[in-house]
Amino acid sequence: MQDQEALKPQETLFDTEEMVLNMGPQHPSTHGVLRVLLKLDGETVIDLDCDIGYLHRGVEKIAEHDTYAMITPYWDRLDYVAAVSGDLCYVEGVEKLLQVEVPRRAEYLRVILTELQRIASHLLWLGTHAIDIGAVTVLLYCFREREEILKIFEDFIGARLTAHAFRIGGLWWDVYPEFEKRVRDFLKIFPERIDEYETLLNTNRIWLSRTVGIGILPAEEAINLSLTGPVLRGSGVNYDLRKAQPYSAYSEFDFEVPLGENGDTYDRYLIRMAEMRQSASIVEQALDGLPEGPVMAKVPKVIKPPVGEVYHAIEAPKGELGVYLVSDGTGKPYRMRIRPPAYINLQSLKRMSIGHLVADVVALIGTIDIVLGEVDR
Amino acid sequence: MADESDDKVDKPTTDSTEESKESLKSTGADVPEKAQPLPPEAGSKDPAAEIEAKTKATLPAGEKPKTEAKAEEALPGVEKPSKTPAIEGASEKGEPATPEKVAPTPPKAGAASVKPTPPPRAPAGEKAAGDKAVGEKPAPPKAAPAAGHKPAPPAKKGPVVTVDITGDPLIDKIKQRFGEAITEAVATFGQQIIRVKKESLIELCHYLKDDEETLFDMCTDLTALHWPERAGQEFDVVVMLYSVPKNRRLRIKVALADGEACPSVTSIWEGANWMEREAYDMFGLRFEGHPDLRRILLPPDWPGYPLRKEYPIEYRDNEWTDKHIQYREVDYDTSLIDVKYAERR
Repeated sequence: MQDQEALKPQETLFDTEEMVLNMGPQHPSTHGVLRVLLKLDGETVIDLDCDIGYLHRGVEKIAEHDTYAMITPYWDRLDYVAAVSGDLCYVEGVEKLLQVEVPRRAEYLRVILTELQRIASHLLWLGTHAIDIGAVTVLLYCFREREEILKIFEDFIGARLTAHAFRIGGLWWDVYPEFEKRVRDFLKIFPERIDEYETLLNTNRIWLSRTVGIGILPAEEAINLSLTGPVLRGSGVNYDLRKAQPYSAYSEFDFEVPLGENGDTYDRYLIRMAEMRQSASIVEQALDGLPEGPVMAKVPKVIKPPVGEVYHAIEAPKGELGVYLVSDGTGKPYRMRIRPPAYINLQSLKRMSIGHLVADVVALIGTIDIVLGEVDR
Repeated sequence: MADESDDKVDKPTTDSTEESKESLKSTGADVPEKAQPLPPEAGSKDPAAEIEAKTKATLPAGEKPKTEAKAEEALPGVEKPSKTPAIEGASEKGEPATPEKVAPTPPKAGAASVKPTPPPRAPAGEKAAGDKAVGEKPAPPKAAPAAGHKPAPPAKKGPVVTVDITGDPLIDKIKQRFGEAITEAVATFGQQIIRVKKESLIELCHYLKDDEETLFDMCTDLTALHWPERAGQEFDVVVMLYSVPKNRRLRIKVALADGEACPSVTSIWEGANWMEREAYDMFGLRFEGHPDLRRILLPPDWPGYPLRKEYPIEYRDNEWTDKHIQYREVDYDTSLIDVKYAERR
């Protein structure tokens, strides 16, 4: 016993000192060009700083020099794995400013596409999150289903990733004839596929030891850190904009908001899995009730909203995605502020990582679900 | 069917006139475009409006229907009869004026006294009401100020979208408590905005976060606006709050002079940290009491603050890129390339 006491690291021959480790910007597990500076004591993180901005394009500045319609494609390139959600946020913001009412068929189609996009985004998240932690198989399964969704998008929109799905006032085209059938085919197989992923992970011993109890965030702290989306709901806070402040046609659908209990990485994983099931259910309901009619409202060709300002937020896959538009009555916004969920959620990485090991930082970056296109804008 | 909707809908749109205006603007008004900040508060004169007026004068009124029809064909999606005209009611004016004509100039004070026009159509009103009032919670049915307190008059689209808040218990309470410090309380599109003096910002935020009735426990967003022509108050810091238990939003604005520091709200909402850093990065605003005020998206030695209005959009080649990227024109011999191609062939 005494011998063991004597062998404590501080008292051995080794000198210990803090070390600064530079992770990224080309590290594969940082999901792009995130650079994380870690201050380590042994393998334990004692401080952390994120260096971001490598992908900064100045979208907010560009927006001040573009007309309202020209800005929409930039929103595809913010969160490029959930481009449709970005479109929806901006387009609805401008519609609010213009006081345009979108045809109901367009609203329903928007819901369908956005929810499919949520599934696709969560699938990509799941695959990469799992591969970060070491489960390579899951990625291949996830991409199989994501591919189906991207094909549906491609045939409708013409693009797989940067969709530019919506226009101010509705949709550019109505959907193609087989659209409904293809979406239904996908919905038929999808719940089973989620079961498959869960079989791979839910009770997987390695998965559990890498996620349970890692990065616990109590509810109050999560709110104080302005977290939104699955990261916030993992801590048990019931805040989903689709329910809290319904936009588009979400008030007409019946779905649940999955909530976590412990606020750890495993809970956040479970929530996203449950959300995919809910999204599939929403898509099904929307298809069942899909109204007939036009898909484009009458919108002036040159969009000049009245003087004023508006904030509009939607529940994007990553959290609350908002747009704050200030109009001076001309054809270009006086200011467009993007409220990026990934950027604001990334703040919590420091809070979650301290006290954990370096390997857990990788899991925690994954659990926040960041896309650097949106973080850096 | 189509005719009917066209009749009803298209009169105010005047697409082609709009277009000509647009082209006029782009050719003639490069400078005003940039130097035209027109804060709604300032109600300054708008070069765009002048140009519009000019175009209107040069365009005989009789010509309108024809050009419209042409524009109609060009506009996609019009073949389908739409039940939701973008702009309605303007045809009541009986003149070919575009509804936007009046848009750029309402001074806020006037706006309040003129005619509180909540969002015109019922659904829009509903949406707006849902925005701030309730989701599924039974919380504040009384607190539906802008959209709710006056029933929407038969849709008349006007430029007035901002109205004073009256009869909202929460805002009244804040006004009572802070008195002079609250200089303005308005609602636009059903969203509540209060303007507070810089000195009282921290006190107000503490109150909003801790008081039982407000409980604004989340700082959703923090950003800034630059109004270069508003002397002495060039910046607005905009803080957007959300209350999870009450499910409502509130926007706070603080006016600042150029170079003046804003009190930091990071001590109240930790999440404001990066938002304030971004505001500093993009506008050069300093936040007093911020624990770690560094640039966040741009390099530490980047020249200037990009989201200020005077910052040019094409500023890619500057001192910083000279120093760090060392971009050089490459001089190459084109004849050499031709030779290579020739060899390949």
